[in-house]
Amino acid sequence: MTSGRESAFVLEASQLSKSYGERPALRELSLRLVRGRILGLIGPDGAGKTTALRLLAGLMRPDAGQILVSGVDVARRGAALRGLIGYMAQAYSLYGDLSVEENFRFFAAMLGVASREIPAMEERLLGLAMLLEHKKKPAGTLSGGMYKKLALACVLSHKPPLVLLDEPTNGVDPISRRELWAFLRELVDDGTSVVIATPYMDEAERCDEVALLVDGRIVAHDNPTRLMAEHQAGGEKGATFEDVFLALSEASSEKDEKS
Amino acid sequence: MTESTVIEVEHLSRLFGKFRAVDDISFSVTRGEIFGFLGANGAGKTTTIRILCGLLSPTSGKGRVLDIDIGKAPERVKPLLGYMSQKFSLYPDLTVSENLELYGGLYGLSSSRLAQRRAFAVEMAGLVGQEAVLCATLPLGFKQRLALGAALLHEPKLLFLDEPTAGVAPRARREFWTLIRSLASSGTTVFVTSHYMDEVENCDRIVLMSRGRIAALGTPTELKQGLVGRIVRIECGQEPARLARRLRAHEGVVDAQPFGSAIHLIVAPGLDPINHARKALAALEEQPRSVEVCQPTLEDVFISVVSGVAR
Repeated sequence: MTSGRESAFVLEASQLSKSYGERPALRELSLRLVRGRILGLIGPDGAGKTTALRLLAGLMRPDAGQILVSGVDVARRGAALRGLIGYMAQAYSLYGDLSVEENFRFFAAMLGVASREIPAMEERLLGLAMLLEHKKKPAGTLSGGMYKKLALACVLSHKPPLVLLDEPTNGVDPISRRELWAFLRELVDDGTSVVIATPYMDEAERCDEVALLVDGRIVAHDNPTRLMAEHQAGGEKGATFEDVFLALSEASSEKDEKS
Repeated sequence: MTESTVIEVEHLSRLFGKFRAVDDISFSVTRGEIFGFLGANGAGKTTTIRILCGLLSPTSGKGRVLDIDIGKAPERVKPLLGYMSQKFSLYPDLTVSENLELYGGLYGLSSSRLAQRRAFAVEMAGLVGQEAVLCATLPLGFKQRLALGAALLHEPKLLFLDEPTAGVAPRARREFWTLIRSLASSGTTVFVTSHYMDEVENCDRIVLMSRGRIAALGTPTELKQGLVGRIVRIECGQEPARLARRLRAHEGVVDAQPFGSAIHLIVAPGLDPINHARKALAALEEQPRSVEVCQPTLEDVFISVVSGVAR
């Protein structure tokens, strides 16, 4: 194993800030995640979700702050990082002319999986993705949902303890969306930790914990049931997660105005 | 077709080769209604909409849109429709005004009418004083409302919205739906397609499409009614995915899905849900922390309807 010091956390990010020119994209973001949990990074377009994930994946450097993944400092990058993180960008590109299994084998080899281990990983991950019967199909002919599941299988082929997913359910129909979540849950049962960015409030409930992101800032980080319960205690019955989000984001912008 | 019927479809089918993309569907939409159209990829949504917009002819069956027979005179339908997609087809390098002028020109508005409608669209989008701003720099919520303004320039009687609020912040989304509701109450008929259940919650009535057919049609409340009391939330703690998978294999279980550390179980109709869930759990030698009935969502409806059709 390639780990630095022992850490209870798979991911520890402290005080991350990032600006693009004058515009702050992320402000003093801190997150910690233990093994075997799904953290939903939830916020509308432009809230800073993609920036946060790109920093966590080590693809971009923060202006300030520190990130440790399984105790390894992301700023030092190096070969250790690749084994620790699986990252799926919003527009993850597979090779459309290659078949499902050829794509999987290609990405697994790229991620350094030993060739004798590839068949077993392929069987397990394509199985979880429900793609075994489509193994021979060119990736370019898959539906949106199947394509996303294949991309997910590919970024998991080296068994990373931390998986970062940028809006994986975007444009995916409800049935494939359920399958994708079921796939994630299986991984989590095995101890993988997942950070998933989504603009869809109704996905909050599927996470173990959610961080609500508004204008580059985390306005709440808790378990979804507790967030809902606290909000409902404040009055409205049958409140949705969107109501909770709205209340918390307005409260935070009022605070901004006062300060 | 009564005066207030805007869309009327009877036994409509469309084949591509031997594939029945749309398979004998019938429904009607009345004036001022917000009508939701929902389905998985490949369920026949896009084909239906293309037929309604006069872009594709039906293989069999009849369809009338705004009193025009779409089998006979599809080109007459097009100018009467407005269309706005999730991708907000605005030109980022043009200003607010330029985008509206471009669309007004495409719709063939006279210059005096265009000036009047442009003012309407700018005001509706909340962009008065910002006419010279480049679209690329507008926040998403404003882009969305401007795209809506552009789609309404020619005062269409029927407006198609394709995933209109996906990814938009909750406040902007609510304002958007308030706008849509006021449009509908002044007589514009709105046809919404989406994958997202929280979008279609805003509709007066919803169609669920599955495999080219209408699997269900009703108000959101009516659709959920069938599942009231049939969904059980099980707090289980460890390894919810494994447990959900084992529960799915159990008789009388329509679906079991992990939600965080809990599982939502849809129980087959006619069974006592709590008792059945407890029996299933006992058979699997599982002792959950709690088992309680919970409220159905439209997504639960969708899954249960579609899995019913599949059987």
